[in-house]
Amino acid sequence: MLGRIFTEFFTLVETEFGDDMLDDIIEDATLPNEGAYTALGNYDYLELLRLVTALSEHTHIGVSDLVKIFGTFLFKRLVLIYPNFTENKDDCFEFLSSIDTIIHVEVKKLYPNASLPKFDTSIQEDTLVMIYQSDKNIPDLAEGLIIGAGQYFSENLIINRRLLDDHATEFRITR
Amino acid sequence: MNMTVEDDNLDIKWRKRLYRERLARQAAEELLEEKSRELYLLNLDLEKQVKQRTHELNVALVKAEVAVKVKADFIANMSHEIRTPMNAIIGLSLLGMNSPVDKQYDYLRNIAGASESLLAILNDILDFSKIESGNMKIELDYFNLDDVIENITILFTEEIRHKGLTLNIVQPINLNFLLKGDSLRLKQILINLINNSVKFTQKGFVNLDISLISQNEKEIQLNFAIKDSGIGMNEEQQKLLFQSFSQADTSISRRFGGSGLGLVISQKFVELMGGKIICNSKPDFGSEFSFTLSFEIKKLETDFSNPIKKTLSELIAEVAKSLENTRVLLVEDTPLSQQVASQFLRNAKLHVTVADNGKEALALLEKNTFDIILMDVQMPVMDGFEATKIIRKNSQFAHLPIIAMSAGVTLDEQEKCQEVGMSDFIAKPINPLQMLEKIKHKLRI
Repeated sequence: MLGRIFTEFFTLVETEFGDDMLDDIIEDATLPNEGAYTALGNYDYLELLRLVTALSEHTHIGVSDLVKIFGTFLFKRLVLIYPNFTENKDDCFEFLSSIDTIIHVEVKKLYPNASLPKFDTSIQEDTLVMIYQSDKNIPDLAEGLIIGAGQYFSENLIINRRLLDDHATEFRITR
Repeated sequence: MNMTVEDDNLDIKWRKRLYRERLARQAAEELLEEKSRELYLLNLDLEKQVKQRTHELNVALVKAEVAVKVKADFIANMSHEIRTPMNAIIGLSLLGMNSPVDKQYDYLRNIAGASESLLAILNDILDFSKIESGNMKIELDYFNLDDVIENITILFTEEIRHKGLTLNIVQPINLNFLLKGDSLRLKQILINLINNSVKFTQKGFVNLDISLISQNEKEIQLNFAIKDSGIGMNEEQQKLLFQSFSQADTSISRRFGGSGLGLVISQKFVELMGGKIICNSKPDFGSEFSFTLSFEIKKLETDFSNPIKKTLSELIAEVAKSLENTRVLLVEDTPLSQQVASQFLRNAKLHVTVADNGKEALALLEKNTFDIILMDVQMPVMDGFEATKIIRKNSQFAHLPIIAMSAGVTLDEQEKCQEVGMSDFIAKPINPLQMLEKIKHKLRI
């Protein structure tokens, strides 16, 4: 998993829960690099899950909710860092449909080693069906990102999700 | 200083954070350096690629520019070459029309001569385009080398005499077998080379030496050398010889005529037959063009040593005898072409009915009986393809011979003729002997 995701998670923890909380969860998660992440690196995604689990224990907020919150936060940050991906996109559906075909193609150019999830999309009237596929399988993160996109484009989205198997989740997004 | 436990804890915390940040910075720096190195190498590679591509593009550009110029020159040259015999044909026709009948024969003979030159130029262009598109094929058939040489001798006799040159043909004696190869193309090569020699030789000789290189039961290897005492060429000129569209000097074509394709075509033919034309020349000392070819051989079964030569009109009369009263439907839209074809056929005593287009032909077919149809391809109202398709749909006419007659002599057009069900193909301008022979062949007489 790209280091950028880790550093953004740290930013979230620092701003929402304070520096001490970050120290504590790093300590609890017992990480191989003692929590020294850089945005350019590549790290095991299980380390992120350990950090989230530690945060959940300290805050008594469920892991699933925390990951969704992080996803929403991450979307806002990514828009700031890579503004060109949301440029020329008129609405949320247009943006979500472009993730696989445009955004991830560009991400691959920047990070040839990145292993990225797949987002197959199809639009039926006012519903967008998205099949999220990833060997890491973190549908909560995907949902958080979708929520973030809805907020960015100021659209009220109703998100229904259904687990297809161990690696795939279907999202039905209606506006 | 008195440190409390709380201060101590704070200190440890800050140290840990500092340590974490340092580690992260180090990792980031390493990654950055690695990326910079990658970028630097990529950049080097890119610069090299850009340089190479630019060079390649420049080379291609120069080549394209040269090709464009050469083609433009070629078209200008062709136009000039076509106009020269055209000028003779038009001028002599006008003169002939205003002359008494007894003077007209000379004009007509010269018009026929100029028309032959025009056809030769067009054939050169056609051969060349076939070669360029890779569609040129060599026919393999048994032939008698004596016939080829005899043909050539007759062809050049008048010009050689007229220019006061001598033409010596030396050939290996006792060639009492047939060679397997493309005699038409071999003749074309020899005519081309001898023609060049005659063109560039003002006095002295032109020699055709054919010598035996090797021979066994199955195969013979012959060397053909054409030598002259003409103006010769320097090395620069020789280098340009076999390039498309170039004569040794473009001003030469103005002085000596010719499509500038003869040598390219000849070289290609020789290559297709497994040889290569080599040029040896010196300014003012003449030129020699030579090539070596291998042929499979077959013993002569009949004695060809003293064949009876027949004139064209005798040959035509012979074929015509078997075709007397054959009913021909001639489908042709141009009045001039109607006149030429129908007169050739009527002279040979065939019955000719003329239709102006495919539709008229269909109407005539309903009420009359014909032995064969000669069908132009491009016609108004209904063309030859369409008409043939309709005729073939009627089972009554499934085996009626339909011979295409067209000025479109590309392979594509010939293939299309075959596709729609035509039986054979005659190229315009019409050679009367060939036309009658094809009719005879199709009627199985």
